[in-house]
Amino acid sequence: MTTLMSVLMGVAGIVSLVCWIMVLIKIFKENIGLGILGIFCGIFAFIYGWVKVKQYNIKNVMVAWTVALLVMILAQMMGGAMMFQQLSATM
Amino acid sequence: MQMLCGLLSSRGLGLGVAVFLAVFLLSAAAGLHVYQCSFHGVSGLSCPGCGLSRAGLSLVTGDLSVMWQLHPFAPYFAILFGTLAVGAVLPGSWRQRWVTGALRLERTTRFHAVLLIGAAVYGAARLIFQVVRLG
Repeated sequence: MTTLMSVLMGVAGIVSLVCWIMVLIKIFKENIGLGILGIFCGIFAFIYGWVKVKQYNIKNVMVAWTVALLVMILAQMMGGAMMFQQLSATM
Repeated sequence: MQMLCGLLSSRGLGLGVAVFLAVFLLSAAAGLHVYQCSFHGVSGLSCPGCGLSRAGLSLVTGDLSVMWQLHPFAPYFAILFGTLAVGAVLPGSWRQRWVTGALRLERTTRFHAVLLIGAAVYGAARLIFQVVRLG
């Protein structure tokens, strides 16, 4: 189960990284300052991507990025729950 | 490099940033990271922005020495996103005054460009240092 979670996190991480770079390229073409800001704050690039989703025509990229982020959050929560269960079992 | 023009023109963007950052900081304080850096996740290296959220939390709690160690540019990003968030929630005429003032300040001082270049140099140097240390 832990291995599956690690693989899931890894795949979601790679998808997230690729989507981030694709959105950053679009932002850089519009404004260099905003592009640099997007490097520092991935969240900002994520929100900006959704705000400009029609203008940039990146709906598929944003959906993939959102799904990847949700998978990462879920995996993180499940990992926490599993650790809690293991701790409870040993106590 | 005028950043605020593009940012402050959209109320939706400001609201989105304000809401997401509030959720992000609250969840980070509770130990759950809503947004994880995918660059760090894949490469194991810190990206130029890694540490900003923890530095932001330290700034909020007043732990300035920890903030300085994590990311010395956290106050700048706090001011930038604070400007956006305030601009998003102000009513019509007040918002107009806020936007005009912020844009005038940016035009006369160019402080966004200077600080952002500084942050970029810091981030790049930190990344190169990590790569050299690993190699």
